[in-house]
Amino acid sequence: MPAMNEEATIADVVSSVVALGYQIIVVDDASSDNTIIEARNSGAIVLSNIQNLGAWKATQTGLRYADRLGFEVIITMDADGQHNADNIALLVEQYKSGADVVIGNCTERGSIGRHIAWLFFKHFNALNVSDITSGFRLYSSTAIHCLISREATMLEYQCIGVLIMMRNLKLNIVETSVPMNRRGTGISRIFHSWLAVGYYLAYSSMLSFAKAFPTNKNKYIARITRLKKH
Amino acid sequence: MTNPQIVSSVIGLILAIVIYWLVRRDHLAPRQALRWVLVAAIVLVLGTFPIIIDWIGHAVGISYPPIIPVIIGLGAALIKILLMDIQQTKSQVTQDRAIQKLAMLEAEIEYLKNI
Repeated sequence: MPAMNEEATIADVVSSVVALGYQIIVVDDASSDNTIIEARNSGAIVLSNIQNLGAWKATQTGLRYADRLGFEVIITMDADGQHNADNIALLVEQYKSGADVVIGNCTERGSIGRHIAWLFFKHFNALNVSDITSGFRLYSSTAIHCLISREATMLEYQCIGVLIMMRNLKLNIVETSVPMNRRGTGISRIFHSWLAVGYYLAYSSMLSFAKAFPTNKNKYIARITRLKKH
Repeated sequence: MTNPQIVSSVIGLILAIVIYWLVRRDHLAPRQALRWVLVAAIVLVLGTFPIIIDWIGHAVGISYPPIIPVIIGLGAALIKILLMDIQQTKSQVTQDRAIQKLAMLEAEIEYLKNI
């Protein structure tokens, strides 16, 4: 779980996950408040990036650590209380029935503009996913091995880039509908201004276009996992 | 020797001296300095003997030969900037991964301390 300046919500989120008996890793992305202390006191393993890397790379820190600890299945969620720990069971259920990547979607949220962007990127990339920005996901070990690669570090957002990666690996991506809470504090970090939205759209379009043509799965896996230990 | 010739050969010489000084004071690694020595040598030779450009222009049929070094220079700069961006991407990824690794190792040390 990536977290940056989430002292208001982190304790509740961590406690709710711990209460269900899961192990939780919180990656503090150079917070300037008490996020680390709150998370640690609530029973999380806390990793701390010395510099702000953004939500996706902070998540990757957690994925790399979890992989090192030998976890087979990892669930990512937001620290702002948007996702409910009780819904983890819904994702796990899909995993048990054969999914490699499970995405908790909530298409009720978001503006019209966001829905148009979702649809555009979904169809342009031939993705089987409606809610591409959802941070509530389950990754299996095959997915994790690729997500901890250097190539994945190049990505800025977990949305398109990660999903395209999963698509190229021909993984079984499944979506399951989960209810999400409204953000208690603040607004989306990625979409904080129109300029940021514009950059995000340009970035995602560029990435989608560059990755548009099919790749050889085995060559792709070999290429991105060869350096995974570094 | 005409005045423009003197000026351009002086530029080449100054470039060579600056590079020598930068390497000597450890501001520039020898690896990068080699390229710049090459650039300085080219500037010096072409500056002193601009007639070479005219020969080349005549040989390949360019009616305004002075444009040749401009085009080659711009092309080389463009390629170099592209290579620098690739290098920058690589360094950025390495740096980000080092930050991640640091966080991982720190957590591991904390864990080992508490055993």
